[in-house]
Amino acid sequence: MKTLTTNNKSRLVNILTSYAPIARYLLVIAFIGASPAAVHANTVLSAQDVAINIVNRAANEGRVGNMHFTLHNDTGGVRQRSALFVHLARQGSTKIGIYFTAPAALQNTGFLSYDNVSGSDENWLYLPATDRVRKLPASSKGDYFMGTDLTYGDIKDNFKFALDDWNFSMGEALVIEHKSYYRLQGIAINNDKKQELGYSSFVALVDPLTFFPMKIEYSDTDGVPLKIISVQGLELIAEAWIATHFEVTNSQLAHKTEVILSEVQHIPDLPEEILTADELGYGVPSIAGR
Amino acid sequence: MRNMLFTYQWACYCLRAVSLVSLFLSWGILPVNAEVKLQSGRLSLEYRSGVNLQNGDLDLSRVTLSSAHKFRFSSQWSGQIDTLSQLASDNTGLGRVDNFASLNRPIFDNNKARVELARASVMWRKRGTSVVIGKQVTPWGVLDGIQVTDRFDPVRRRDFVLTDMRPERIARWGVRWRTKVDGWHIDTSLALDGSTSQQARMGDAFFLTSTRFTAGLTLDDVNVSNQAGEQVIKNNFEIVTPERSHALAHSTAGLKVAHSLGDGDVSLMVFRGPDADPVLGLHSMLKVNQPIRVSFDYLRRTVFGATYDVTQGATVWRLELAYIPDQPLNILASVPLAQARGQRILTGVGMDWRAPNDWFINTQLVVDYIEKDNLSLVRPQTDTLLTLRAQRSFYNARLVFKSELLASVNQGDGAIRPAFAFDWSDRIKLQSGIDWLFGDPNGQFGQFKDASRWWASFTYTF
Repeated sequence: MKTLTTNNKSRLVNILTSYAPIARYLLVIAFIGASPAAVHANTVLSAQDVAINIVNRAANEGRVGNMHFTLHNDTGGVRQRSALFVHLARQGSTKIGIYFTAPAALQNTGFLSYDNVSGSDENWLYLPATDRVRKLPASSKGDYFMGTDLTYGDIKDNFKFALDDWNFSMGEALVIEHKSYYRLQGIAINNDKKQELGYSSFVALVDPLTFFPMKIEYSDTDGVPLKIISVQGLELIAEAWIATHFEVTNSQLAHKTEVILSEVQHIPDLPEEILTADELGYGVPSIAGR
Repeated sequence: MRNMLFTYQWACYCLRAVSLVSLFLSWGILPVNAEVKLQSGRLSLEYRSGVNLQNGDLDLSRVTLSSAHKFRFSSQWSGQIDTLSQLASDNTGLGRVDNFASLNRPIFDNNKARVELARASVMWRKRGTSVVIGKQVTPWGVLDGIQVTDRFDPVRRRDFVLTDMRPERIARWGVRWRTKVDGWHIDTSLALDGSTSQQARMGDAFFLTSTRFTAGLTLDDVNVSNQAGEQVIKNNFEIVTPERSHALAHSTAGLKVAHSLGDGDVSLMVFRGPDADPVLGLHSMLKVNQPIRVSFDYLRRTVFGATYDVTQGATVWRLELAYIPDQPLNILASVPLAQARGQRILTGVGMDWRAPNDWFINTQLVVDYIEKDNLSLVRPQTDTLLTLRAQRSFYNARLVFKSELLASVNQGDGAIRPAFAFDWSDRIKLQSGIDWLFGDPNGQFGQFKDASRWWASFTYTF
């Protein structure tokens, strides 16, 4: 935890001093001690307020980047995956395309997911060996994504906790190296939601500057500690905070997934046609501006 | 007419030449500032062996080197070259290629080794429109490995249906054009290549002997035993395949339109071309002490098809319907190996279910009906095929266990295929399984009950 805090603190300062004007504004506020509600975790905010601030965190409508997964298993084995990801959130619906570029055995495999605001969610998979784009059953948020320790919900929710999914409560703020963090706790609202999410509860340490959960501890549906997500790198990309380096450790399986995002770009006019089932069959898309 | 065909064939030769030259030299004909970039490249080396469960013989021993490379020439131009090289020293063999069009034949071929150009194409693409020229496939249909409307491409059946991916498509030379107009997806394809589905060679483990595939001809008719060697069969039975060429008469042309419908997607298609499976005919008069000479004829037919697939939460439903008004058939008549045409209707329904505890279930049911009028068919008038697959992964998807049932419900025969795949590392994959076939020795699965096998494979991909 100490390492995490130290890293984050220095990284945040670096980010704030080198990125967009809004970041500099926040930095100035932090230094002059103006203490707006968002700056210090000891400011009185209810759990619901913190959760709302997390949900309302600025997001890029269109985002493209490279994803690198390193999977560590309990015997020391390491597997790696690289992919181009395309993320589009528009009018409440989220579309995510993931196009694998490595290892060779997975090259040109494409996965497309629609998280529709109305109607059922949809998934498609393109496997080059079959020459065909195949419609898949909608994934439960609790299903694990392509052998990683991330669930589909982890990927889609982008470090946010849906307000309808959890009963929130506030723990005691945690001070680490002179900086305090909100301790937000959540319990799944009912048994169905627990099964859907794959989690019964969580405890998150939330950075009061960014409203980004820097560490999340999840318990499984039986209430047994399941996994820890530790954010080790944040970047401000077009006014939205993006976790560009994080680790997910499954304590039950002694398995760990390290995720690094690189060359992340905000593309405001990302054409929606890129994220269609037909396009998946053409392989890794060529995106203007990259 | 002869001159027209000659000219047409030369046009096809030119098409192939243009595809290959374009692929290798695209930077010459594409925009001046085009930069050739290797978009992806993969080499895969696999050794697969199989031991016969009945007699312990090594029935399958095959080394396969496959490559797949994609190139990007510019934002609108790209290309693909895939190759398939195989060495085999077993009873399964590499399959017949005498029914491949001349330009689709392997680059190198003998009894034990074969090198094929699996794909070779260039693609131009802008917004929703694409044109692909070269050796390619046209994978239509939504069901998995069971062919209702998915009949445009010929497929490999040298291993019967006991392959990892089903169907294994055979690419053909042609042109494919796809576009989108007001939510409609239009897909047209023209294969100027008369290649048809690949079967096992005579004497190989999966050489078809069921009378439904031999036009009613039994092994007794050709005076050989069930386990006769290749030479014995050849002495008594000779297959003559008329040359498959790039003539218009051997081409396949089709159109598919698709649109969303409710929460799902619907498509309608029509295509006309040679049936990928042959009807048999007597090539010459029967003579005493002479082998029976049988011709494999690939007659043209028209396929009308419709598909629909829809996601409903943890389930995906797939529906297919095909109508073939002029299906070539073999019938039993006063003369041997008689041919006729009839109406054929195929309906299929499939379901994917993401079941609890990480299980994935896929099941499909297909009814294949032939309107026989007064014809005496060599196969049942109605065939009912069932597939059922259950699959689960373990250890962060490193280990996958799957089990599959393929069955002919009406004939009571089928295959059961439990298998596992283990990703030892990003490059090494180990697989093993059993292909156990059962049923009547004259059934479409039961004919191979003596070829039931345990198999294992090692794959290195880089």
